[in-house]
Amino acid sequence: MRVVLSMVAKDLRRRLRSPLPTLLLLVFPLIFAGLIALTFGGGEARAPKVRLLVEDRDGGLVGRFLLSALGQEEVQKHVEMQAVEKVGGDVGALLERQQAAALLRLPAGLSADFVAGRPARLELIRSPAQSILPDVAEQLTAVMAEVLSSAARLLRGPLDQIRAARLPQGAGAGGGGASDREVARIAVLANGVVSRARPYLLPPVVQLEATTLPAPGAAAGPRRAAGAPRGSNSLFLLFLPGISVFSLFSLSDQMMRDVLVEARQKTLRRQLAGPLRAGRVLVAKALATAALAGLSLVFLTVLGALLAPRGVDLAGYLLLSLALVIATTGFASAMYGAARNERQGATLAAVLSLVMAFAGGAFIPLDSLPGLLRSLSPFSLIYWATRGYQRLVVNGEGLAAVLPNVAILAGVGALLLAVSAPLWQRRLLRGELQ
Amino acid sequence: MIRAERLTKKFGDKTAVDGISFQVEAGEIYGLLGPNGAGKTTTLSMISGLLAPDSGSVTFDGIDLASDPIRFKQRLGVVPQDVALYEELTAIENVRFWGSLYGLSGKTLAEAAARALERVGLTGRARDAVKTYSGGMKRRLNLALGLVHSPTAVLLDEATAGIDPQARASILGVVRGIADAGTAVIYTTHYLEEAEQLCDRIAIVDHGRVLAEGTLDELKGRLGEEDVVTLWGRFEADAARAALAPIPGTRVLSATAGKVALSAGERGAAALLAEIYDRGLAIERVAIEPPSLNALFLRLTGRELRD
Repeated sequence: MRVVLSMVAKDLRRRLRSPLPTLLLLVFPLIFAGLIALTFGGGEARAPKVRLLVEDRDGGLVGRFLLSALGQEEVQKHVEMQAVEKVGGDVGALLERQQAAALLRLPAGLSADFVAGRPARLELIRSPAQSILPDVAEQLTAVMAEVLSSAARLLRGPLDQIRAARLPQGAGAGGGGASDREVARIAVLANGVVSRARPYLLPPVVQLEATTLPAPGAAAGPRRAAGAPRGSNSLFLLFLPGISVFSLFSLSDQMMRDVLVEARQKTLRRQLAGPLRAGRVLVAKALATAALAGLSLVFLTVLGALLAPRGVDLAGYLLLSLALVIATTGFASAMYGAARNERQGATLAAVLSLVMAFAGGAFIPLDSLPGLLRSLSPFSLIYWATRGYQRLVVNGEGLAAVLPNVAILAGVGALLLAVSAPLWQRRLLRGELQ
Repeated sequence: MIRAERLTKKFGDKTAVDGISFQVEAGEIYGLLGPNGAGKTTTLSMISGLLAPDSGSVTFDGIDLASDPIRFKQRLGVVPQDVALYEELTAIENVRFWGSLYGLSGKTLAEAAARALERVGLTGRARDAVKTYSGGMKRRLNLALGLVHSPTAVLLDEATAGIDPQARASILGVVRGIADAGTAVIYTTHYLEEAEQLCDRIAIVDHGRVLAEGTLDELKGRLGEEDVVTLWGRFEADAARAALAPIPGTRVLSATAGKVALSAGERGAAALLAEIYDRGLAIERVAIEPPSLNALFLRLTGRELRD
């Protein structure tokens, strides 16, 4: 046993002397999760504005109404409207030059048609250079068209009066033939219509309640513990477990790869010339892998706790971490035990780890994954580890909730270790590692 | 005493070691001399238990390697041809680690590690990372790792490959020292001078076989007093062979285009040269070599050890 411990200490000391690869893998989850949180979790980040060009060929009442509506403070938070002169040439070039999502064209005679109750048409030209923002512009314009249609029906009476008062086309553009008394009367009439409709229109008939979905794997219903982190902080915690788990797989990969590195550097051959059974060398390497994974978990846990303190079920956390260490060690051992050489093993481990990470929701929330990838999730060790940590850390659940995760991780990890042992043994006996 | 008996190892169709036998006594340095690919390293790999022989056996003071490998290896020190060190660690950490593999611990390990480093002259750099060492220092440390547990026999495989003369002299001095202290040493090399300078007995090995074995004097004795004459010039191998073979009392040892070697015979090199010039070969340069291991190797194999 002392010899095995000596080998484990040697491997850990070597890592300590060349810490950069290990540190990078440990810092990677923090940076990655932090970037995601900053990008999507609020803070300084804002959704991009919809830049909408408006070409008013009508120049009348409706055009002014629309421009005025788009100029409202609330709307301006999301829409950047810019009036343009009559566009004669290439609209696409203009949109691209102005980096606009769409051009809204108000045709000549729009106000007259609106007042007369004739069908009118708004024209929206979408930019092919953008993908999402033109959709938003189209939705916005559709709402405005709907509002205009409703207003035309609701204010039919006052509008007829305006027409009868022989307001010139392009009403409001330059005053007209109606007297002040007549205008006041029409305004009172319009106000009366709106007042009568108020009980039906203004009270919220349908209330919209927006809520944020709980993290994947959380129990139904939004729950937020007192003092629980919000916004970017919760996103950080949401992504940190998955990316950390992926990093631990990569760390274990490095350690088990070391068997083949030592074979290349001839230090393994030298050890095997000593009074050791070959199995001990492998056991020592697996233990060193587990030890490094364990130490890394402690590091990540402490750092995570400092950055985003949460109360977690300690027993569940420790048990899940132990199971994860077994799983990462077993996985790495199986990859390099089965591979013909170091490069093949590294490629195999990297590809499978990435697939497991994506399918396991380490980088992208499970709900956002395509169906095929989501159906693969239960076959991913990273999925079970990530879900377990999210339950403990994000949802505040206890040991009982993660027992299936613990069982699967530890069971599969032990199975992989058992399967890989004879593979290693065979390679040693064949002299492949000398 | 280490005894290797009829060791044989094949890799596919190629026979790397073909029935090699020898024994080495305590305090003796036994050299395996041969060109690269002669089978020296494969022989050492079988003796150190890294390769299982297809046939044959190895015993060490009566302990059979096949039946009790751990006990066998415990008494053995191995210094491989490749410098097998952990470059990230310091010299003392390396020595302590390898010592711990042989069961040393605590104060015993610390003392043994210090002694091993002192023996190879690295005490002053003990706490420096190995990656800062020169090639010669790494070779010396490589040797120290094989000695840290005070083995009763040491296998050294090309222990001085690729280092400067000063470092080589230092290593050879250490090897002589451990042999004088009673350790049996098996030393493989393809450097004639090393074998001549260091080894008490030498086995000339080629194609997996021992071609000749004995002390330096015994081996040279097999050549008698014959010098070896080597000629360079503008001639083809067959033409040279045809021209020189009929000279009485000599033997063509090797012949290639532009170079031919032959034994001078009892008449001596001067008489031979006079006769060679009469044969009409276009000779540009001549070398006369007194009896040596290289001459013996040339005679035994038809090629030079350096080829």
